[in-house]
Amino acid sequence: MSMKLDLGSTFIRAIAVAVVLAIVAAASTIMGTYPTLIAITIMVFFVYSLSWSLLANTGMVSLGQALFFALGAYAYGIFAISYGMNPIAALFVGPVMGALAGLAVGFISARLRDWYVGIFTFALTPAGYALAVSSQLQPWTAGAVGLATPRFPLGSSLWLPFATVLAFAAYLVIMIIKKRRIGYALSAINNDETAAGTVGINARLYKTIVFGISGYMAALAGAMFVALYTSYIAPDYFGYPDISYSVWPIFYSMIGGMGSPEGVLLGTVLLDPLETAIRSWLSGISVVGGNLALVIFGLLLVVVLLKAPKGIYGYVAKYVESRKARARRAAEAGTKAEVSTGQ
Amino acid sequence: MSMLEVSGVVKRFGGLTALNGVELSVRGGELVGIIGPNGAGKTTLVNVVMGVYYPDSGRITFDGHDITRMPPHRRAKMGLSRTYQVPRPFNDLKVIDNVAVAAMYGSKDLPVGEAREIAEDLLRRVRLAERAEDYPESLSVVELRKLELARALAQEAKLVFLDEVSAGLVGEDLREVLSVVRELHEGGMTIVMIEHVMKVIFNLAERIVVMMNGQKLAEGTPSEVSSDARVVESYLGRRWSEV
Ligand SMILES: Nc1ncnc2c1ncn2[C@@H]1O[C@H](COP(=O)(O)OP(=O)(O)O)[C@@H](O)[C@H]1O
Ligand SMILES: [Mg+2]
Repeated sequence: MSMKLDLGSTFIRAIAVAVVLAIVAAASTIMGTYPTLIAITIMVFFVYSLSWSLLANTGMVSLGQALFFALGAYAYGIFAISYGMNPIAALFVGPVMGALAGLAVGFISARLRDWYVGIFTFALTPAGYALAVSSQLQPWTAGAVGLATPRFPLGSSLWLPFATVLAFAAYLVIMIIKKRRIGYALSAINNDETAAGTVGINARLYKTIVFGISGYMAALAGAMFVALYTSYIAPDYFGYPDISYSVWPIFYSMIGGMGSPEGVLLGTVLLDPLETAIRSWLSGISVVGGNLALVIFGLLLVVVLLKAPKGIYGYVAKYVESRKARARRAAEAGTKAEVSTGQ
Repeated sequence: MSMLEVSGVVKRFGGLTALNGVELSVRGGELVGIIGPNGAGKTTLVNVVMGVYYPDSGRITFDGHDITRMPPHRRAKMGLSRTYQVPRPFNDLKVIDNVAVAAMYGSKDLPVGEAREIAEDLLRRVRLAERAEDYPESLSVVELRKLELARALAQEAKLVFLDEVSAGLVGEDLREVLSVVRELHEGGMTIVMIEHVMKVIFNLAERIVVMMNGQKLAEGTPSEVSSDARVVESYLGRRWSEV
Protein backbone atom coordinates (compact mmCIF):
# COMPACT_ATOMS: atom_id res chain seq x y z
CA MET A 1 0.00 0.00 0.00
CA SER A 2 2.86 2.30 -0.76
CA MET A 3 2.56 5.77 -2.18
CA LYS A 4 6.25 6.36 -2.34
CA LEU A 5 7.53 4.74 -5.51
CA ASP A 6 7.22 7.70 -7.81
CA LEU A 7 9.28 8.45 -10.86
CA GLY A 8 10.26 12.01 -11.68
CA SER A 9 8.78 15.33 -10.71
CA THR A 10 5.07 16.02 -10.49
CA PHE A 11 5.06 18.13 -13.66
CA ILE A 12 6.87 15.56 -15.80
CA ARG A 13 4.58 12.84 -14.47
CA ALA A 14 1.47 14.84 -15.36
CA ILE A 15 2.79 15.45 -18.89
CA ALA A 16 3.57 11.75 -19.29
CA VAL A 17 0.06 10.78 -18.18
CA ALA A 18 -1.49 13.34 -20.55
CA VAL A 19 0.59 11.91 -23.42
CA VAL A 20 -0.42 8.32 -22.63
CA LEU A 21 -4.10 9.26 -22.44
CA ALA A 22 -3.85 11.22 -25.71
CA ILE A 23 -2.14 8.30 -27.46
CA VAL A 24 -4.83 5.87 -26.27
CA ALA A 25 -7.52 8.24 -27.53
CA ALA A 26 -5.86 9.02 -30.87
CA ALA A 27 -4.83 5.46 -31.70
CA SER A 28 -8.27 4.04 -30.95
CA THR A 29 -9.97 6.75 -32.98
CA ILE A 30 -7.81 5.87 -35.98
CA MET A 31 -8.54 2.16 -35.47
CA GLY A 32 -12.32 2.62 -35.69
CA THR A 33 -15.62 2.67 -33.84
CA TYR A 34 -15.20 -0.42 -31.67
CA PRO A 35 -11.70 0.47 -30.40
CA THR A 36 -13.02 3.99 -29.71
CA LEU A 37 -15.70 2.49 -27.45
CA ILE A 38 -13.05 0.40 -25.67
CA ALA A 39 -10.99 3.54 -25.16
CA ILE A 40 -14.00 5.24 -23.56
CA THR A 41 -14.25 2.35 -21.09
CA ILE A 42 -10.53 2.76 -20.35
CA MET A 43 -11.14 6.40 -19.39
CA VAL A 44 -14.19 5.46 -17.30
CA PHE A 45 -12.40 2.65 -15.49
CA PHE A 46 -9.32 4.80 -14.90
CA VAL A 47 -11.49 7.32 -13.03
CA TYR A 48 -13.24 4.46 -11.23
CA SER A 49 -9.99 2.71 -10.24
CA LEU A 50 -8.52 5.99 -8.98
CA SER A 51 -11.55 6.34 -6.70
CA TRP A 52 -10.84 2.88 -5.27
CA SER A 53 -7.08 3.38 -4.86
CA LEU A 54 -7.59 6.73 -3.11
CA LEU A 55 -9.44 4.82 -0.38
CA ALA A 56 -6.94 1.97 -0.34
CA ASN A 57 -4.08 4.44 0.12
CA THR A 58 -5.87 5.80 3.18
CA GLY A 59 -6.05 2.34 4.71
CA MET A 60 -9.62 1.50 3.64
CA VAL A 61 -10.32 -1.42 1.32
CA SER A 62 -13.72 -0.95 -0.32
CA LEU A 63 -15.30 -4.16 -1.56
CA GLY A 64 -18.49 -2.37 -2.55
CA GLN A 65 -17.28 0.51 -4.68
CA ALA A 66 -20.03 -0.29 -7.20
CA LEU A 67 -22.51 1.24 -4.77
CA PHE A 68 -21.17 4.68 -5.71
CA PHE A 69 -20.66 3.78 -9.36
CA ALA A 70 -24.31 2.75 -9.68
CA LEU A 71 -25.57 5.71 -7.63
CA GLY A 72 -23.81 8.02 -10.09
CA ALA A 73 -25.29 6.16 -13.04
CA TYR A 74 -28.84 6.29 -11.65
CA ALA A 75 -28.58 9.90 -10.46
CA TYR A 76 -27.38 10.90 -13.93
CA GLY A 77 -30.25 9.03 -15.60
CA ILE A 78 -32.97 10.14 -13.18
CA PHE A 79 -31.90 13.78 -13.28
CA ALA A 80 -31.83 13.71 -17.08
CA ILE A 81 -35.08 11.77 -17.59
CA SER A 82 -37.40 12.48 -14.66
CA TYR A 83 -36.24 16.03 -13.99
CA GLY A 84 -35.34 17.09 -17.52
CA MET A 85 -31.86 18.23 -16.59
CA ASN A 86 -29.37 18.77 -19.42
CA PRO A 87 -27.35 15.52 -19.53
CA ILE A 88 -24.07 17.44 -19.48
CA ALA A 89 -25.13 19.10 -16.23
CA ALA A 90 -26.52 15.81 -14.90
CA LEU A 91 -23.14 14.17 -15.53
CA PHE A 92 -21.54 16.48 -12.97
CA VAL A 93 -24.48 17.03 -10.61
CA GLY A 94 -25.54 13.37 -10.39
CA PRO A 95 -22.25 12.28 -8.76
CA VAL A 96 -23.00 14.62 -5.86
CA MET A 97 -25.27 11.78 -4.72
CA GLY A 98 -22.20 9.54 -4.75
CA ALA A 99 -20.31 12.11 -2.67
CA LEU A 100 -23.13 12.29 -0.10
CA ALA A 101 -23.34 8.50 0.09
CA GLY A 102 -19.53 8.43 0.36
CA LEU A 103 -19.59 10.84 3.31
CA ALA A 104 -22.20 8.70 5.07
CA VAL A 105 -20.38 5.43 4.40
CA GLY A 106 -17.09 7.12 5.29
CA PHE A 107 -18.44 8.42 8.59
CA ILE A 108 -19.10 4.81 9.62
CA SER A 109 -16.05 3.26 7.93
CA ALA A 110 -13.75 5.71 9.72
CA ARG A 111 -14.89 4.07 12.94
CA LEU A 112 -14.22 0.53 11.73
CA ARG A 113 -10.89 -1.24 11.79
CA ASP A 114 -9.16 -3.14 8.99
CA TRP A 115 -11.28 -5.62 7.09
CA TYR A 116 -14.55 -4.53 8.71
CA VAL A 117 -14.53 -1.68 6.18
CA GLY A 118 -14.48 -4.27 3.39
CA ILE A 119 -17.33 -6.27 4.89
CA PHE A 120 -19.38 -3.15 5.53
CA THR A 121 -19.00 -1.73 2.02
CA PHE A 122 -19.61 -5.15 0.47
CA ALA A 123 -22.80 -5.54 2.51
CA LEU A 124 -24.20 -2.28 1.14
CA THR A 125 -24.32 -3.38 -2.50
CA PRO A 126 -27.35 -5.72 -2.20
CA ALA A 127 -29.16 -2.84 -0.48
CA GLY A 128 -28.45 -0.63 -3.49
CA TYR A 129 -29.72 -3.32 -5.83
CA ALA A 130 -32.85 -3.77 -3.72
CA LEU A 131 -33.57 -0.04 -3.91
CA ALA A 132 -33.10 -0.02 -7.68
CA VAL A 133 -35.63 -2.82 -8.22
CA SER A 134 -38.06 -1.78 -5.49
CA SER A 135 -41.62 -1.09 -6.60
CA GLN A 136 -41.77 2.23 -4.71
CA LEU A 137 -38.91 3.64 -6.73
CA GLN A 138 -40.05 2.05 -9.99
CA PRO A 139 -41.33 5.37 -11.42
CA TRP A 140 -37.77 6.70 -11.34
CA THR A 141 -35.62 3.59 -11.78
CA ALA A 142 -37.83 1.47 -14.04
CA GLY A 143 -37.09 -1.45 -11.73
CA ALA A 144 -35.42 -4.59 -13.01
CA VAL A 145 -35.97 -3.51 -16.63
CA GLY A 146 -33.46 -0.72 -16.27
CA LEU A 147 -33.41 2.82 -17.61
CA ALA A 148 -32.64 3.84 -21.17
CA THR A 149 -31.07 7.29 -21.15
CA PRO A 150 -31.32 10.08 -23.74
CA ARG A 151 -28.51 10.62 -26.20
CA PHE A 152 -25.62 12.60 -24.74
CA PRO A 153 -25.85 16.08 -26.31
CA LEU A 154 -22.35 16.22 -27.80
CA GLY A 155 -21.32 15.06 -31.27
CA SER A 156 -20.35 11.41 -30.87
CA SER A 157 -16.86 12.13 -32.20
CA LEU A 158 -16.39 14.25 -29.09
CA TRP A 159 -17.32 11.55 -26.58
CA LEU A 160 -13.87 10.01 -26.36
CA PRO A 161 -12.03 13.37 -26.14
CA PHE A 162 -14.50 14.42 -23.44
CA ALA A 163 -13.91 11.19 -21.49
CA THR A 164 -10.15 11.66 -21.88
CA VAL A 165 -10.28 15.17 -20.44
CA LEU A 166 -12.32 13.91 -17.46
CA ALA A 167 -9.83 11.08 -16.89
CA PHE A 168 -6.95 13.54 -16.86
CA ALA A 169 -8.88 15.84 -14.51
CA ALA A 170 -9.39 12.91 -12.11
CA TYR A 171 -5.65 12.20 -12.26
CA LEU A 172 -4.89 15.84 -11.44
CA VAL A 173 -7.26 15.75 -8.46
CA ILE A 174 -5.36 12.76 -7.07
CA MET A 175 -1.99 14.47 -7.64
CA ILE A 176 -3.18 17.68 -5.98
CA ILE A 177 -4.41 15.71 -2.97
CA LYS A 178 -1.03 13.95 -2.74
CA LYS A 179 1.00 17.14 -2.87
CA ARG A 180 -1.06 19.15 -0.41
CA ARG A 181 -1.13 19.04 3.36
CA ILE A 182 -3.96 16.51 3.26
CA GLY A 183 -1.82 14.10 1.21
CA TYR A 184 0.80 13.86 3.97
CA ALA A 185 -1.95 13.16 6.48
CA LEU A 186 -3.42 10.40 4.29
CA SER A 187 -0.03 8.66 3.99
CA ALA A 188 0.46 8.89 7.73
CA ILE A 189 -3.01 7.45 8.37
CA ASN A 190 -2.37 4.65 5.89
CA ASN A 191 0.95 3.73 7.52
CA ASP A 192 0.08 4.02 11.21
CA GLU A 193 -3.21 5.47 12.33
CA THR A 194 -2.21 5.53 16.00
CA ALA A 195 1.00 7.45 15.34
CA ALA A 196 -0.93 9.76 13.00
CA GLY A 197 -3.26 10.62 15.87
CA THR A 198 -0.27 11.25 18.12
CA VAL A 199 1.07 13.92 15.77
CA GLY A 200 -2.32 15.66 15.66
CA ILE A 201 -4.04 14.16 12.61
CA ASN A 202 -7.79 13.63 12.89
CA ALA A 203 -7.92 10.28 11.09
CA ARG A 204 -11.70 9.89 11.30
CA LEU A 205 -12.32 13.28 9.75
CA TYR A 206 -9.85 12.68 6.91
CA LYS A 207 -11.18 9.20 6.23
CA THR A 208 -14.70 10.58 5.99
CA ILE A 209 -13.61 13.36 3.62
CA VAL A 210 -11.67 10.90 1.47
CA PHE A 211 -14.72 8.66 1.20
CA GLY A 212 -16.73 11.66 0.02
CA ILE A 213 -14.18 12.46 -2.70
CA SER A 214 -13.94 8.81 -3.68
CA GLY A 215 -17.74 8.55 -3.79
CA TYR A 216 -17.90 11.48 -6.19
CA MET A 217 -15.20 10.03 -8.46
CA ALA A 218 -16.76 6.56 -8.55
CA ALA A 219 -20.17 8.07 -9.24
CA LEU A 220 -18.71 10.24 -12.00
CA ALA A 221 -17.27 7.08 -13.55
CA GLY A 222 -20.74 5.47 -13.35
CA ALA A 223 -22.36 8.51 -14.97
CA MET A 224 -19.68 8.58 -17.73
CA PHE A 225 -20.21 4.86 -18.31
CA VAL A 226 -23.90 5.46 -18.99
CA ALA A 227 -23.63 8.80 -20.79
CA LEU A 228 -20.77 7.93 -23.11
CA TYR A 229 -20.93 4.14 -23.45
CA THR A 230 -24.06 2.14 -22.60
CA SER A 231 -26.95 4.71 -22.71
CA TYR A 232 -28.61 2.26 -20.35
CA ILE A 233 -28.65 1.73 -16.57
CA ALA A 234 -29.20 -1.69 -15.02
CA PRO A 235 -29.63 -2.61 -11.33
CA ASP A 236 -26.65 -4.95 -11.54
CA TYR A 237 -24.34 -1.91 -11.79
CA PHE A 238 -24.60 -2.08 -8.00
CA GLY A 239 -22.26 -5.06 -8.12
CA TYR A 240 -25.03 -7.41 -7.07
CA PRO A 241 -25.64 -10.25 -7.78
CA ASP A 242 -22.67 -10.01 -10.18
CA ILE A 243 -19.77 -8.68 -8.08
CA SER A 244 -17.65 -7.74 -11.09
CA TYR A 245 -18.50 -4.02 -10.97
CA SER A 246 -16.92 -3.83 -7.52
CA VAL A 247 -14.00 -6.05 -8.40
CA TRP A 248 -12.55 -4.58 -11.62
CA PRO A 249 -11.19 -1.39 -10.03
CA ILE A 250 -9.47 -3.56 -7.41
CA PHE A 251 -7.83 -5.76 -10.06
CA TYR A 252 -6.77 -2.83 -12.25
CA SER A 253 -5.33 -0.86 -9.31
CA MET A 254 -3.53 -3.74 -7.63
CA ILE A 255 -2.06 -5.32 -10.75
CA GLY A 256 -0.98 -1.96 -12.20
CA GLY A 257 0.30 -0.63 -8.88
CA MET A 258 -2.12 1.20 -6.61
CA GLY A 259 0.61 3.16 -4.84
CA SER A 260 0.62 5.77 -7.58
CA PRO A 261 -1.98 7.01 -10.08
CA GLU A 262 0.42 6.11 -12.92
CA GLY A 263 0.33 2.49 -11.78
CA VAL A 264 -3.46 2.59 -11.79
CA LEU A 265 -3.36 4.00 -15.32
CA LEU A 266 -0.99 1.27 -16.43
CA GLY A 267 -3.26 -1.40 -14.96
CA THR A 268 -6.35 0.03 -16.60
CA VAL A 269 -4.79 0.51 -20.03
CA LEU A 270 -3.40 -3.05 -20.04
CA LEU A 271 -6.27 -4.90 -18.43
CA ASP A 272 -9.46 -3.21 -19.54
CA PRO A 273 -9.07 -4.21 -23.23
CA LEU A 274 -7.88 -7.64 -22.11
CA GLU A 275 -11.00 -8.05 -19.99
CA THR A 276 -13.21 -7.18 -22.96
CA ALA A 277 -11.32 -9.60 -25.19
CA ILE A 278 -11.50 -12.48 -22.70
CA ARG A 279 -15.16 -11.83 -22.04
CA SER A 280 -16.15 -11.82 -25.72
CA TRP A 281 -13.95 -14.83 -26.45
CA LEU A 282 -15.37 -16.84 -23.53
CA SER A 283 -18.97 -15.84 -24.20
CA GLY A 284 -18.69 -17.91 -27.39
CA ILE A 285 -17.89 -20.93 -25.25
CA SER A 286 -20.00 -20.45 -22.16
CA VAL A 287 -22.71 -18.24 -20.70
CA VAL A 288 -20.58 -17.67 -17.63
CA GLY A 289 -17.91 -15.87 -19.67
CA GLY A 290 -17.88 -12.82 -17.41
CA ASN A 291 -17.26 -14.88 -14.29
CA LEU A 292 -14.52 -16.89 -15.99
CA ALA A 293 -12.85 -13.59 -16.84
CA LEU A 294 -12.92 -12.78 -13.11
CA VAL A 295 -11.26 -16.11 -12.35
CA ILE A 296 -8.52 -15.47 -14.89
CA PHE A 297 -7.89 -11.99 -13.49
CA GLY A 298 -7.86 -13.36 -9.97
CA LEU A 299 -5.10 -15.78 -10.94
CA LEU A 300 -3.24 -13.00 -12.75
CA LEU A 301 -3.45 -10.86 -9.62
CA VAL A 302 -1.95 -13.63 -7.50
CA VAL A 303 0.91 -14.19 -9.96
CA VAL A 304 1.72 -10.48 -10.24
CA LEU A 305 1.55 -9.83 -6.51
CA LEU A 306 3.81 -12.79 -5.75
CA LYS A 307 6.47 -11.37 -8.07
CA ALA A 308 5.73 -7.68 -7.51
CA PRO A 309 3.80 -6.85 -4.33
CA LYS A 310 3.46 -3.23 -5.42
CA GLY A 311 2.13 -4.07 -8.85
CA ILE A 312 3.77 -3.75 -12.25
CA TYR A 313 4.48 -0.04 -11.92
CA GLY A 314 5.82 -0.46 -8.40
CA TYR A 315 8.19 -3.15 -9.69
CA VAL A 316 9.51 -0.91 -12.47
CA ALA A 317 9.79 2.12 -10.19
CA LYS A 318 11.72 0.14 -7.59
CA TYR A 319 14.15 -1.10 -10.23
CA VAL A 320 14.77 2.43 -11.51
CA GLU A 321 15.13 3.77 -7.94
CA SER A 322 17.67 1.14 -6.98
CA ARG A 323 19.73 1.88 -10.11
CA LYS A 324 19.67 5.58 -9.29
CA ALA A 325 20.70 4.88 -5.68
CA ARG A 326 23.57 2.69 -6.91
CA ALA A 327 24.75 5.47 -9.22
CA ARG A 328 24.52 7.98 -6.35
CA ARG A 329 26.53 5.75 -4.02
CA ALA A 330 29.15 5.25 -6.71
CA ALA A 331 29.39 9.01 -7.23
CA GLU A 332 29.73 9.60 -3.46
CA ALA A 333 32.42 6.96 -3.18
CA GLY A 334 34.25 8.70 -6.03
CA THR A 335 34.18 12.07 -4.27
CA LYS A 336 35.42 10.57 -1.01
CA ALA A 337 38.29 8.88 -2.78
CA GLU A 338 39.27 12.22 -4.34
CA VAL A 339 39.19 13.95 -0.95
CA SER A 340 41.36 11.33 0.72
CA THR A 341 43.95 11.26 -2.06
CA GLY A 342 43.98 15.06 -2.09
CA GLN A 343 45.21 15.27 1.52
CA MET B 1 -0.61 24.80 39.42
CA SER B 2 0.68 21.79 37.64
CA MET B 3 0.55 21.41 33.88
CA LEU B 4 -0.17 17.69 33.89
CA GLU B 5 -2.03 15.91 36.62
CA VAL B 6 -2.50 12.14 36.57
CA SER B 7 -4.54 10.84 39.49
CA GLY B 8 -5.55 7.34 40.44
CA VAL B 9 -5.08 5.98 36.93
CA VAL B 10 -5.77 2.28 36.48
CA LYS B 11 -5.21 0.44 33.22
CA ARG B 12 -5.77 -3.30 32.84
CA PHE B 13 -4.96 -5.55 29.91
CA GLY B 14 -7.17 -8.58 30.46
CA GLY B 15 -6.08 -9.95 33.80
CA LEU B 16 -2.90 -7.88 33.94
CA THR B 17 -2.98 -4.55 35.78
CA ALA B 18 -0.39 -2.45 33.99
CA LEU B 19 -1.21 0.74 35.91
CA ASN B 20 -2.54 0.40 39.41
CA GLY B 21 -3.56 3.83 40.69
CA VAL B 22 -0.72 5.96 39.34
CA GLU B 23 -0.23 9.52 40.54
CA LEU B 24 1.93 11.95 38.61
CA SER B 25 2.11 15.69 38.66
CA VAL B 26 4.28 17.75 36.29
CA ARG B 27 4.73 21.51 36.55
CA GLY B 28 5.32 23.74 33.56
CA GLY B 29 9.01 24.00 32.63
CA GLU B 30 10.02 20.98 34.67
CA LEU B 31 12.22 18.10 33.54
CA VAL B 32 10.93 15.00 35.26
CA GLY B 33 12.55 11.61 34.95
CA ILE B 34 10.65 8.35 35.23
CA ILE B 35 12.60 5.21 35.90
CA GLY B 36 11.63 1.69 36.69
CA PRO B 37 12.31 -1.86 35.58
CA ASN B 38 10.93 -3.38 32.41
CA GLY B 39 7.21 -3.93 32.66
CA ALA B 40 6.77 -1.31 35.39
CA GLY B 41 4.12 0.46 33.33
CA LYS B 42 6.12 3.49 32.14
CA THR B 43 5.14 3.20 28.47
CA THR B 44 1.54 2.40 29.37
CA LEU B 45 1.45 5.61 31.41
CA VAL B 46 2.55 7.57 28.32
CA ASN B 47 -0.04 5.77 26.21
CA VAL B 48 -2.80 6.64 28.64
CA VAL B 49 -1.75 10.29 28.85
CA MET B 50 -1.57 10.51 25.03
CA GLY B 51 -4.93 8.78 24.51
CA VAL B 52 -3.67 5.62 22.82
CA TYR B 53 -5.75 3.88 25.51
CA TYR B 54 -8.32 5.32 27.83
CA PRO B 55 -7.80 4.37 31.49
CA ASP B 56 -10.22 2.03 33.26
CA SER B 57 -10.45 4.55 36.05
CA GLY B 58 -8.73 7.69 37.23
CA ARG B 59 -8.41 11.16 35.82
CA ILE B 60 -5.93 13.08 33.66
CA THR B 61 -5.88 16.84 33.34
CA PHE B 62 -3.64 18.96 31.14
CA ASP B 63 -3.51 22.75 31.38
CA GLY B 64 -6.56 22.58 33.61
CA HIS B 65 -8.68 20.60 31.13
CA ASP B 66 -9.91 17.08 31.73
CA ILE B 67 -8.40 15.05 28.87
CA THR B 68 -9.12 11.56 30.26
CA ARG B 69 -11.30 10.62 27.26
CA MET B 70 -10.19 13.15 24.70
CA PRO B 71 -9.17 11.74 21.28
CA PRO B 72 -5.39 11.69 20.67
CA HIS B 73 -5.27 14.30 17.89
CA ARG B 74 -6.93 16.87 20.13
CA ARG B 75 -4.34 16.24 22.84
CA ALA B 76 -1.67 16.98 20.23
CA LYS B 77 -3.42 20.26 19.42
CA MET B 78 -3.41 21.14 23.12
CA GLY B 79 0.36 20.73 23.18
CA LEU B 80 1.21 17.14 24.07
CA SER B 81 3.71 15.06 22.13
CA ARG B 82 5.71 11.89 22.63
CA THR B 83 8.29 9.59 21.13
CA TYR B 84 7.61 5.90 20.76
CA GLN B 85 10.00 3.54 22.52
CA VAL B 86 9.61 1.14 19.58
CA PRO B 87 9.84 3.57 16.64
CA ARG B 88 6.68 3.96 14.56
CA PRO B 89 7.70 5.87 11.44
CA PHE B 90 5.41 6.60 8.48
CA ASN B 91 7.08 4.33 5.94
CA ASP B 92 5.61 5.90 2.80
CA LEU B 93 6.92 9.34 3.73
CA LYS B 94 10.54 10.41 3.39
CA VAL B 95 12.44 11.05 6.62
CA ILE B 96 12.03 14.81 6.21
CA ASP B 97 8.29 14.44 5.58
CA ASN B 98 7.88 12.21 8.64
CA VAL B 99 9.04 15.21 10.65
CA ALA B 100 7.25 17.78 8.48
CA VAL B 101 3.85 16.11 8.83
CA ALA B 102 4.16 16.45 12.62
CA ALA B 103 4.92 20.15 12.20
CA MET B 104 1.93 20.50 9.84
CA TYR B 105 -0.56 18.96 12.26
CA GLY B 106 0.99 19.24 15.74
CA SER B 107 0.08 22.05 18.10
CA LYS B 108 -0.23 24.48 15.15
CA ASP B 109 -1.57 24.09 11.62
CA LEU B 110 1.33 24.92 9.33
CA PRO B 111 1.57 24.86 5.51
CA VAL B 112 3.80 22.30 3.79
CA GLY B 113 6.68 24.68 2.98
CA GLU B 114 7.06 26.07 6.48
CA ALA B 115 6.73 22.61 8.02
CA ARG B 116 9.51 21.26 5.80
CA GLU B 117 11.83 24.10 6.88
CA ILE B 118 11.19 23.26 10.54
CA ALA B 119 11.83 19.59 9.72
CA GLU B 120 15.15 20.41 8.05
CA ASP B 121 16.32 22.32 11.12
CA LEU B 122 15.30 19.54 13.47
CA LEU B 123 17.00 16.86 11.39
CA ARG B 124 20.20 18.88 11.55
CA ARG B 125 19.84 19.18 15.33
CA VAL B 126 19.55 15.44 15.82
CA ARG B 127 22.27 14.76 13.23
CA LEU B 128 20.01 13.06 10.72
CA ALA B 129 20.12 15.69 7.96
CA GLU B 130 21.95 13.53 5.44
CA ARG B 131 19.13 10.99 5.60
CA ALA B 132 16.40 13.57 4.93
CA GLU B 133 15.52 12.28 1.46
CA ASP B 134 15.61 8.59 2.38
CA TYR B 135 12.72 6.42 3.49
CA PRO B 136 12.53 5.17 7.09
CA GLU B 137 12.88 1.54 5.98
CA SER B 138 16.55 2.19 5.26
CA LEU B 139 17.32 3.70 8.68
CA SER B 140 19.20 1.96 11.49
CA VAL B 141 17.58 1.58 14.91
CA VAL B 142 19.63 4.49 16.23
CA GLU B 143 18.56 6.68 13.32
CA LEU B 144 14.93 5.71 13.86
CA ARG B 145 15.18 6.86 17.49
CA LYS B 146 16.53 10.18 16.35
CA LEU B 147 13.67 10.42 13.86
CA GLU B 148 11.21 9.79 16.70
CA LEU B 149 12.78 12.63 18.65
CA ALA B 150 12.71 15.04 15.70
CA ARG B 151 9.09 14.17 14.93
CA ALA B 152 7.97 14.73 18.53
CA LEU B 153 9.76 18.08 18.67
CA ALA B 154 8.32 19.23 15.34
CA GLN B 155 4.90 19.45 16.95
CA GLU B 156 6.12 22.41 19.03
CA ALA B 157 4.37 20.94 22.03
CA LYS B 158 4.29 22.33 25.56
CA LEU B 159 5.00 18.94 27.11
CA VAL B 160 6.90 16.11 25.49
CA PHE B 161 7.30 12.54 26.70
CA LEU B 162 10.59 10.96 25.69
CA ASP B 163 10.19 7.20 26.01
CA GLU B 164 13.73 5.79 26.21
CA VAL B 165 15.06 8.00 23.41
CA SER B 166 18.61 7.44 24.47
CA ALA B 167 18.39 3.63 24.38
CA GLY B 168 21.07 2.20 22.11
CA LEU B 169 22.76 5.55 21.56
CA VAL B 170 26.48 5.87 22.30
CA GLY B 171 29.27 8.41 21.92
CA GLU B 172 28.59 11.51 19.87
CA ASP B 173 24.97 10.50 19.13
CA LEU B 174 24.17 10.14 22.83
CA ARG B 175 25.86 13.44 23.73
CA GLU B 176 24.03 15.19 20.89
CA VAL B 177 20.59 13.87 21.84
CA LEU B 178 21.15 14.72 25.52
CA SER B 179 22.30 18.20 24.63
CA VAL B 180 19.14 18.65 22.56
CA VAL B 181 17.08 17.63 25.57
CA ARG B 182 19.02 20.04 27.80
CA GLU B 183 18.57 22.89 25.31
CA LEU B 184 14.85 22.24 25.07
CA HIS B 185 14.57 22.30 28.83
CA GLU B 186 16.55 25.52 29.06
CA GLY B 187 14.24 26.95 26.38
CA GLY B 188 11.33 26.35 28.77
CA MET B 189 9.84 23.14 27.44
CA THR B 190 8.28 20.73 29.89
CA ILE B 191 9.82 17.29 29.53
CA VAL B 192 9.06 13.90 30.97
CA MET B 193 11.96 11.62 30.24
CA ILE B 194 11.60 7.90 30.67
CA GLU B 195 14.76 5.92 31.04
CA HIS B 196 15.57 2.36 31.82
CA VAL B 197 19.21 3.16 32.55
CA MET B 198 19.60 5.77 35.28
CA LYS B 199 22.99 7.25 34.54
CA VAL B 200 21.54 9.39 31.78
CA ILE B 201 18.71 10.83 33.79
CA PHE B 202 20.43 11.51 37.10
CA ASN B 203 22.40 14.38 35.63
CA LEU B 204 19.45 15.88 33.78
CA ALA B 205 16.26 15.57 35.80
CA GLU B 206 15.26 17.85 38.66
CA ARG B 207 12.84 15.30 39.98
CA ILE B 208 12.67 11.56 39.53
CA VAL B 209 9.69 9.27 39.79
CA VAL B 210 10.36 5.59 40.32
CA MET B 211 7.73 3.19 39.01
CA MET B 212 7.25 -0.42 39.92
CA ASN B 213 4.40 -2.86 39.23
CA GLY B 214 2.13 -0.16 37.84
CA GLN B 215 2.58 2.16 40.81
CA LYS B 216 4.73 5.00 41.96
CA LEU B 217 7.32 3.54 44.30
CA ALA B 218 9.18 6.73 45.18
CA GLU B 219 9.66 10.31 44.11
CA GLY B 220 12.20 13.05 44.79
CA THR B 221 15.43 14.68 43.68
CA PRO B 222 17.97 12.33 42.11
CA SER B 223 19.96 12.17 45.35
CA GLU B 224 16.85 11.55 47.46
CA VAL B 225 15.73 8.78 45.16
CA SER B 226 19.11 7.11 45.00
CA SER B 227 19.31 7.00 48.80
CA ASP B 228 15.71 5.83 49.30
CA ALA B 229 15.88 2.46 50.99
CA ARG B 230 12.95 0.96 49.09
CA VAL B 231 14.34 2.05 45.75
CA VAL B 232 17.80 0.80 46.47
CA GLU B 233 16.46 -2.49 47.65
CA SER B 234 13.92 -3.19 44.96
CA TYR B 235 15.55 -1.59 41.99
CA LEU B 236 18.82 0.26 42.20
CA GLY B 237 20.49 -2.39 44.30
CA ARG B 238 20.13 -4.92 41.58
CA ARG B 239 21.02 -2.55 38.81
CA TRP B 240 23.63 -0.31 40.34
CA SER B 241 26.40 -2.51 39.05
CA GLU B 242 25.08 -2.22 35.53
CA VAL B 243 24.77 1.57 35.61
N1 LIG C 1 -1.15 -3.39 24.59
C1 LIG C 1 -0.88 -4.23 25.60
N2 LIG C 1 -1.57 -5.39 25.72
C2 LIG C 1 -1.30 -6.24 26.74
N3 LIG C 1 -0.38 -6.01 27.67
C3 LIG C 1 0.34 -4.88 27.60
C4 LIG C 1 0.13 -3.93 26.56
N4 LIG C 1 0.98 -2.89 26.75
C5 LIG C 1 1.68 -3.19 27.86
N5 LIG C 1 1.31 -4.37 28.38
C6 LIG C 1 1.84 -4.98 29.59
O1 LIG C 1 1.77 -4.03 30.61
C7 LIG C 1 2.92 -4.10 31.45
C8 LIG C 1 3.60 -2.75 31.46
O2 LIG C 1 4.24 -2.57 30.22
P1 LIG C 1 4.97 -1.22 29.82
O3 LIG C 1 4.10 -0.08 30.15
O4 LIG C 1 5.40 -1.35 28.40
O5 LIG C 1 6.23 -1.24 30.78
P2 LIG C 1 7.57 -0.42 30.73
O6 LIG C 1 7.45 0.63 29.66
O7 LIG C 1 7.72 0.16 32.08
O8 LIG C 1 8.66 -1.41 30.43
C9 LIG C 1 3.78 -5.22 30.89
O9 LIG C 1 3.53 -6.40 31.62
C10 LIG C 1 3.31 -5.35 29.46
O10 LIG C 1 3.49 -6.66 29.01
MG1 LIG D 1 8.57 1.01 28.01
